[in-house]
Amino acid sequence: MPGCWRERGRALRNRSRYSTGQVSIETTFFIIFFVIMLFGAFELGTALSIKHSMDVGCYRAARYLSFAPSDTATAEQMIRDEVDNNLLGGGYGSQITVAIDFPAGTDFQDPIIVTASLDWQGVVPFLNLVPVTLRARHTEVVERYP
Amino acid sequence: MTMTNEKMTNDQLEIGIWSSKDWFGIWSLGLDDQGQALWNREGYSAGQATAGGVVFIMIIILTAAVLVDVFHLMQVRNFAYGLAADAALVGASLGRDFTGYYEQPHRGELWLDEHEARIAAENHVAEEMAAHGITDYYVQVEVITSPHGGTIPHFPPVPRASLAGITHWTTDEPAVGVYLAIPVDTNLLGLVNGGGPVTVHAFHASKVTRRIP
Repeated sequence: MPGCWRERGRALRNRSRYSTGQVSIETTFFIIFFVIMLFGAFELGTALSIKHSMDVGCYRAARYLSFAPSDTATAEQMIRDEVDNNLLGGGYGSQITVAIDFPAGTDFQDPIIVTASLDWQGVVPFLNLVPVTLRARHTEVVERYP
Repeated sequence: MTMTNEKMTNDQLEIGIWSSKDWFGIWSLGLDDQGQALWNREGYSAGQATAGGVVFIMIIILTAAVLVDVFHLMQVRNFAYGLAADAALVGASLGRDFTGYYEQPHRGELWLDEHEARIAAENHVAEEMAAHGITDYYVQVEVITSPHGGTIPHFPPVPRASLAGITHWTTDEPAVGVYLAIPVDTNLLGLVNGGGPVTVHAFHASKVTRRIP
């Protein structure tokens, strides 16, 4: 076998030896990236689920208040229950800030504004996400005739 | 370049590693099994991981962009549905013609005042859009005033605006229908749409129901 081929074979063998563990490093990068993506998707889904439940809760509360404008406590509890019972964001109901406003009073055909907000921060490994405020708002009209 | 010369320079050696033409030259020379195996391994797999990584990252980026777009569209559509429902309710509530109920020619029948109902619904949409900082939108409000209902043909203008795919809105009682179209800027899905924003359509109607106790 000519000398240059021996050198080449040795070089190739060395190269092969140097690449040992390459897959582990690539896998580590992949897992880090994958975990960030996975947690990010889950947290985004949680935020959307909470936001949706806040929307539904505000809508139901506003509809309830249109027939029972004086019973704001029940309406507020409806929003908290809706958030507590949503698919991914259980436990946030007590942290919701609810505002019920009757800008013109509680007479027939006066507007009702129900607003809910929640300071929420997603938790994703290796990332420091900025807190966001989730808001929902619905407006109805008092339907109860005096 | 051929591989018949034993005294190859280093440059030729480097070129020979990556050149398929030279690979055949070496093959014909007959390396020992180990060298040949290493040579094949290097020749075929070099750069595979890099290419795979690039493709994988591109797929992940595209997936993330599509997911964010879909979530964004979902959220806007949810908002649009809620707003259309609220506006239709407000229009139906404030548009009831109580004066006409006590006077001829509609005495004893509750009609909707088309102008009042339309203005109430449109104002409600405008207020909520302003509260959410949305300036680019389209709203169409239709009112069926008769207590016996009626039909508005070609409304909503886009069938998928309602979950039922309505093309001709029909009701058997006085009602207010609100159609909303909101263009949404997207990261990736806009490319499917020729680079423009994706428009979200929503339709909701509320009617005045007579309850006999």
